[in-house]
Amino acid sequence: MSKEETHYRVLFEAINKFSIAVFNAYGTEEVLQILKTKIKYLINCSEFEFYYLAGHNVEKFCGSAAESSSLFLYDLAPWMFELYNTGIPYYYLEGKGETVTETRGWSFRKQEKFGSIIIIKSDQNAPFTNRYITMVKLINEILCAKISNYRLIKELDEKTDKIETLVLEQEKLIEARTKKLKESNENLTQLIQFNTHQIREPIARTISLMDIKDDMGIDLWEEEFWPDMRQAVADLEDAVNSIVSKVDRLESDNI
Amino acid sequence: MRSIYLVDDQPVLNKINKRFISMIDPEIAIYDFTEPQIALNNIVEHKPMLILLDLNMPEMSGWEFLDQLNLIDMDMKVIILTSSDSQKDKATASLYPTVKEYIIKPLSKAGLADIISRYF
Repeated sequence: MSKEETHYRVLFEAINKFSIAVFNAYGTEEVLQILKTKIKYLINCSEFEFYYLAGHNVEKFCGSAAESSSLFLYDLAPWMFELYNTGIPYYYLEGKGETVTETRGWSFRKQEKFGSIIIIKSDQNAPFTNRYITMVKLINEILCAKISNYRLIKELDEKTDKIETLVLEQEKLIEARTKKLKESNENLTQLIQFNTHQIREPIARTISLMDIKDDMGIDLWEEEFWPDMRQAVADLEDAVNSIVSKVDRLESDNI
Repeated sequence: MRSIYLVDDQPVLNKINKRFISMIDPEIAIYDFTEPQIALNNIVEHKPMLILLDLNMPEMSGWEFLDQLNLIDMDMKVIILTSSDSQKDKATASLYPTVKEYIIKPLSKAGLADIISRYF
């Protein structure tokens, strides 16, 4: 097996392990640790930074320091902003002789509002060569897929929370309305019971008074029961008025 | 002696029923009360064969009257005579073994005659 073949075989195994590790990572902290420990097996670099951009929000993953932070698009350095907008790879060399540091940058735009940037710094101890560029693209794809997956899960969780809150609010609303309906039903039942007695009682009295008239003769009946008849009719009128005012009160309570 | 209690807070109804019963069977002793408590106070002495009982009364309801009656160790028959056609009241009445019938007012002379023929 040639030296080149061995190199690619090792690289294949490394990217395989890297992609499995990222795929299985539980959170961004774990992704950062993977970047810190495994990126050195994939590319030669002294510093590795990955930026995930979604609209105006930027998530920065610093592989060498295993740190992440949230920024806004306009917080990015002007050269990074230009890199993201133009898509032209960035290269900058600073220092002289053995202290030379190279900074390289690539931007990858998925859609108008989504994309990523990878910044790699290298020096003589970890020289970066062009053959790593394919690896950079591959790493970008793996990280983008993972992070967009996290964001989707987060968005889903937030929506689930919102739905749960809405459901709770709806339940409270239904409970309040059910309570009002029960009260309304209770009031109606009371009204019906009240009507039953208040209306039927004087009516029953009137009917009984009329019944007995036939057995007594009109003169005796008038003498003995006419005041009762007047009272029964008056009680009936009171009952009707009382019911009308109760219904009015119920209607105004329901408005 | 055959006797009947009329317990209703409306004196005119007691008066009408009393007159009807007298016409139907003059030998029945009739005691009418507008205050249920007074009826209870006299019940052991009179031992009525039948009680016509109203439910909605201000001082003591028909239900309270029946509860008190349960405490007296006497074989009583009660007919509820009320203007309430509430199902709840009918269901409650069925829980009292002393209550034999639930009749909604008004009770005609023919109705009273039927009751007297069946209970006396």
